[in-house]
Amino acid sequence: MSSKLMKIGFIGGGKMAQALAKGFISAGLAKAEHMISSCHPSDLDSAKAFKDLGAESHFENVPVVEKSDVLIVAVKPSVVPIALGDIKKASGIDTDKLFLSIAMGITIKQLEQHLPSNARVIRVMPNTPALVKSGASVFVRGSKTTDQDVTITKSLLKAVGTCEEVTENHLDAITALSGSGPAYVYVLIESLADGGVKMGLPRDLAYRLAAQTVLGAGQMVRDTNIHPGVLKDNVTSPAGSTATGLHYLEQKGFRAAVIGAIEAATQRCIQVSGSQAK
Amino acid sequence: MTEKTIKQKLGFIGAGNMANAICEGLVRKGRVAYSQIYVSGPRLQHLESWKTKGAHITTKNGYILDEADVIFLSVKPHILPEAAANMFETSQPNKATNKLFISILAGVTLESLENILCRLDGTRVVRVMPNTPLMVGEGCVVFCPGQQATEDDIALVKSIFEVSGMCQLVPEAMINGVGALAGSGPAYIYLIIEALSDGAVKMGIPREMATSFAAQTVLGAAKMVLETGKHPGALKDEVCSPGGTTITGIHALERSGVRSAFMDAVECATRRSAELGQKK
Repeated sequence: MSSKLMKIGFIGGGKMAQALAKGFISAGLAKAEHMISSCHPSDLDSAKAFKDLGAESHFENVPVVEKSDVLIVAVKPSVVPIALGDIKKASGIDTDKLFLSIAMGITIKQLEQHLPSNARVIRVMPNTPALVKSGASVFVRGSKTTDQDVTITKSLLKAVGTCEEVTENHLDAITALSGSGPAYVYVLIESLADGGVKMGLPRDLAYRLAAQTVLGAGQMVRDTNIHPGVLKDNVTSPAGSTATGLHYLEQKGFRAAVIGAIEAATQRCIQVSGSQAK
Repeated sequence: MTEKTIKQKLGFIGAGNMANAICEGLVRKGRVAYSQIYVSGPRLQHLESWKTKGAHITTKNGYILDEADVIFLSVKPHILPEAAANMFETSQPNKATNKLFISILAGVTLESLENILCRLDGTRVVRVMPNTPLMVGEGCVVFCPGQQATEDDIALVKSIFEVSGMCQLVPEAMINGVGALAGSGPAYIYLIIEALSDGAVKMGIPREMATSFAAQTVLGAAKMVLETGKHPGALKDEVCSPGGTTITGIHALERSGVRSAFMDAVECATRRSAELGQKK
């Protein structure tokens, strides 16, 4: 099976599933008419979203598996055992397929336990900017994953941003960094804008400039491969405004605050996944 | 003697540690001989060590002015008026022309120096700011040439101080900032070395070992920055393995706001330098 024009099924049809669906379609990896999702009967918005794309929407999980080559497990973590249980219980369906799970905190081991034994699993952690095709996703191989599964996964995830293979032991730290990271950056953007407004800028202008500045800086680091310290130096002229601003941030312990946030979030992740482990 | 030999006679008004360090550095590298050195101080008996090495010693600053081609002003700044008066009183009329003065007096501006010395024809002044590690050949020296200083004067100053470390020309406006960094900097580093040593002693390392390791670590890190040309941030990254001891230590430092502490130190010291400069 080539990675072109796959039949992709979504178990769970929420925001992330919709974002991925749109990304896959616009990247030419799948056609909407071959796409199918399962949504909770009460979730009319999700069902509509998929239908508006030109895809099918069901209440049942089994048809999604039957009609697709690759499955995206996108239900809420607490629902995962039930949703996958449906599939395991169903008889006569071919489950020798690739299941990509984006459910937070659900481990490879748990996924493999909930699914039939011939299902192949890859655990994915995307982040919310996948919604605007600037996601930072990572994936972990399952015990039966093939190289072709990995190739497919990479091409799917690249449709909505960047993609890196990692080992499962790093996922807590990754969740704290790129999973929660957008929130830290939203706080930064809001603060930059507040500062701008305090100094006389209109709010909407302040937000646009703040967002684009963050975006631009991120791109500088990602695309130039220049050390952030060097990039910082390049903006910081002697006795200029940047030096003054940076000094203020250092006085307030900005770096330590961010390092501490990642540490605290990682520890919380570990705590949560520990309490979820069955 | 090498081609970089200094042919001039060098005089030192003020024979303290700096004067000694500058001289010793030059002699060790074969750039001058002690026979070319003229040094003055208030008490001859304190100049015995210079004499033993072959220098000409005196209590008369005027003698230095007359005999030497290049005169280092290396007294403590508050002594300058007295030393200058002595110099003019004890010098022979019309002998003291076309002299290069190199001042290492902290906080004394080119303007002040030129005011004191302009009565002498053909005088050029260069203001130098050295730092104490010049004494071990690792100085960080900056200098600003006065209005009349020539290219040759500048080249000579560079060649004198490069023997004992790094030497660079800067605009006089930068002197306060450089002073706060390179002039006062060694003190900040001594504080760091002591603290590193204290930390190590707390963790069971004997003091002598702790201090010498701390010092060597600072030296080595400094060399890495100067010789690799890599950004310090990149060098830091290279030491910080994921989940390792170094990054844990770094986080502790960040929590304590050490970066801002050092930025504050340089800023405060710069302001103080400017303040002191105003008072004259």
